[in-house]
Amino acid sequence: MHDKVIARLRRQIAAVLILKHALLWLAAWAFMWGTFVIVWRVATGVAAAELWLGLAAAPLLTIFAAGLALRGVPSRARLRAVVDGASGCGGLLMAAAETPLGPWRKSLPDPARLQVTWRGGQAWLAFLAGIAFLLVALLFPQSLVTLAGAAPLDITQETQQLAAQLDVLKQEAVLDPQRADFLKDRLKQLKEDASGTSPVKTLEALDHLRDIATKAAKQAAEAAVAKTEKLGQAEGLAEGIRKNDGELEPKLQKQAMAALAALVQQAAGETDLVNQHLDPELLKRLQGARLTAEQLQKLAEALKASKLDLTKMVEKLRAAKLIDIELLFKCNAAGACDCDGMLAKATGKTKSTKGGRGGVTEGGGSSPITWSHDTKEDSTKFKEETLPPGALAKLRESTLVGVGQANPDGDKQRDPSQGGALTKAPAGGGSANAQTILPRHQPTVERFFARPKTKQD
Amino acid sequence: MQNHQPADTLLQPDQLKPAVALAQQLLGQLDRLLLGQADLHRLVLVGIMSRGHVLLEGVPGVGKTALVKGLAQLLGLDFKRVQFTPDLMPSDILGTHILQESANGSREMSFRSGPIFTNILLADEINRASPKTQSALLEAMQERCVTLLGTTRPLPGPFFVLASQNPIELEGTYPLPEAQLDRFLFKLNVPGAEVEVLDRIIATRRRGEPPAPTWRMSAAELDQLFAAMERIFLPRPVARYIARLVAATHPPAKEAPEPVKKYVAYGASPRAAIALAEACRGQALLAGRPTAGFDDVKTVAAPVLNHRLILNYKARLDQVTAAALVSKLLASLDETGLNLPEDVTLTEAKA
Repeated sequence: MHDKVIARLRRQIAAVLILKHALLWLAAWAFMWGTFVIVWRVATGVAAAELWLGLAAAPLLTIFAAGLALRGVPSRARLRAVVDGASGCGGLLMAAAETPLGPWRKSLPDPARLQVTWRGGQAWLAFLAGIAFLLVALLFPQSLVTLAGAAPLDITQETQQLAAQLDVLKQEAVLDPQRADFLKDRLKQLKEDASGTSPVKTLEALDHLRDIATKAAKQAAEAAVAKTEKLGQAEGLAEGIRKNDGELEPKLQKQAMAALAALVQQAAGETDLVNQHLDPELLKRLQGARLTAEQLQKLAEALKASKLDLTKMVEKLRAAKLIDIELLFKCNAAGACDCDGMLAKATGKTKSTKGGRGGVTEGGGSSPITWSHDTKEDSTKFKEETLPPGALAKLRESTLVGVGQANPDGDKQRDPSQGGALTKAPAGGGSANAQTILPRHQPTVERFFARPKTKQD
Repeated sequence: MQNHQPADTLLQPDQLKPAVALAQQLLGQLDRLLLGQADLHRLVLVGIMSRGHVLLEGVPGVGKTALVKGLAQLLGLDFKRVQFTPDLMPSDILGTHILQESANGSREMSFRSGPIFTNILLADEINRASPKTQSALLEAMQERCVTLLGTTRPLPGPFFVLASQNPIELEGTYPLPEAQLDRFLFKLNVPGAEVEVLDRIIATRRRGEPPAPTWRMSAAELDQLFAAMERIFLPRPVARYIARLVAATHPPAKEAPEPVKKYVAYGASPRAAIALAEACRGQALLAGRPTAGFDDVKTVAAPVLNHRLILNYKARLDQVTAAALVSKLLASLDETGLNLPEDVTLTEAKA
């Protein structure tokens, strides 16, 4: 009977130890495997079904844990000693394993009812926590994993804007269609490859494409300004000749026509003037031949139409935010028609004594100042400038150390006076001294420089 | 030297009963002679049956000498008493050679045996004698023989030294060296008498003299008792427990508890393990069992180990005694060495 009790006790201890070891080992494995699953899913962005195969390790691990546990099960001799002590056998039960008890067997007391008590709360808690962690790792939605991981960089808005700009450049023949398509393909690829893990590269590439577009647009706009100027000159001359038809000497008329022909020829070579607006016959007649007033008017209209086309192109570039509004204004100003001035320049004479042509060889001589139009207000208005990136960054990083009552030191802010009265002045006027003032002073200075309104305004 | 054969078969009940009866009768007589010291008498008897020497420590007048005298009377053994004084010489205990003139007129050295040549030697106030005299007992206690001038003379068998010492009068005393303390199987504390016991003593005994014993053990009966002791079985797990217990008294041991590591300088020797094994057999015999169990070891552990632990200065500073350390050791050491995890225990199921 005692042997049965000992055997049963041993089995119970073995079962408890196996369960304890299995729970702890499975808990450890669940945490490890769960961590691996999470890292795998975040890194690859794939919730592979193969990750569930890790569960197949559970039975193997249980067997391993059972093997370890069985090594800790006490021997029969030790359990016999426990039963001997608990039952009050006084060593008889232990002696029974080494020597026959003989008549003493009858005096062996009944074995004590021993049971194995295991405070397994912590082991169960660890196991359940491990399983819960593993299940969460396996079942967590992949979209949320990806969102939390390597999210793509959203540059849709920027790419759409840039694509529209490239379309405009393509339509206005600023960029070759092939070049424009190539850049659009690159933009598309950039959008697909944009990733939250390396935004710098993506944004740098985007900036590079944007620079290409804006540079091309700026070059086109500046070329348009130059062409518009020439067209304006040709138009002015044509109008001047037409207005003074019959009043000019034949020699001067011829001279003027030759100058007109040269200007128109040049313009025809640079723009689509001939193709779109000017009759080729008219151009032929222009070469050295006299044109009638009607023909001169047609010519002027064609030149004006070409000027308008260029202005429209520049307006489109401006609307696509490829160029500043300044260039648009420049273009508009460049096309201003100065009929009398151009005629005078072409013939070397004017209707009245109006001074010399100027220049190195023909300069000098007093000549009255020719006013063709009032100085435009635009140049005196405050030019809004965007701060250069360096200054802006400096401003952002700067800290306010105090606020003073005194005005800012004007000397530091004063830009040096430019050489030449009107160097870098915009077309139609400008100021030699560019003074940077604070925004709060703008209204005051504007009022100071405000022109009284004239009857014409 | 006796040929001790291990007990590979248990004592039969009919063989054990008479020995138990003898022991119980002896105990009964001792309790009758000396009142109020039943536990002490039990342990002293265990010591005697284990063929060990016993050191009795107690204040004067508690009956140490009376106990030893009574025991000697009951056992029917020769008894001699030596009062240890500071001027006691080894020859006063062991004996000496004296020059004697024989009948034919020649002179020769003859050996005059000392009081040690007896069955029970009462070494009264053993700590009063000088270390030289104390060390004279070393060979006798261990080897049960005396060597003088190259001649080894065996002591009569059985031979016991029952010593006494006074724990309060320490002036002019010489504490026993560890080597000698280790030779005592037990060191027993003889407590004072309680009120009821004192009342009975005063009421029933004039001048505190104990009554004469009504029974004495014969030599044959004593041999029977010793023979039964030889057959008491010590199971291997119990022997293992004794070994682990003695090993755990040493601070570097794996199973030594924290107090032992902190307060013990030197632990018990292998002689302590042998003493424990013998003493637990005696305890089992007294309990009427043919085998010794874990409880028997625990009963005799304190008397065996208390005087064998050498404590360090920290123990003196913290006033920790060897008895307290032995108690903690017994409480902390698992008898069976199951080595189950802390959260797995064996408990008795409720009915």
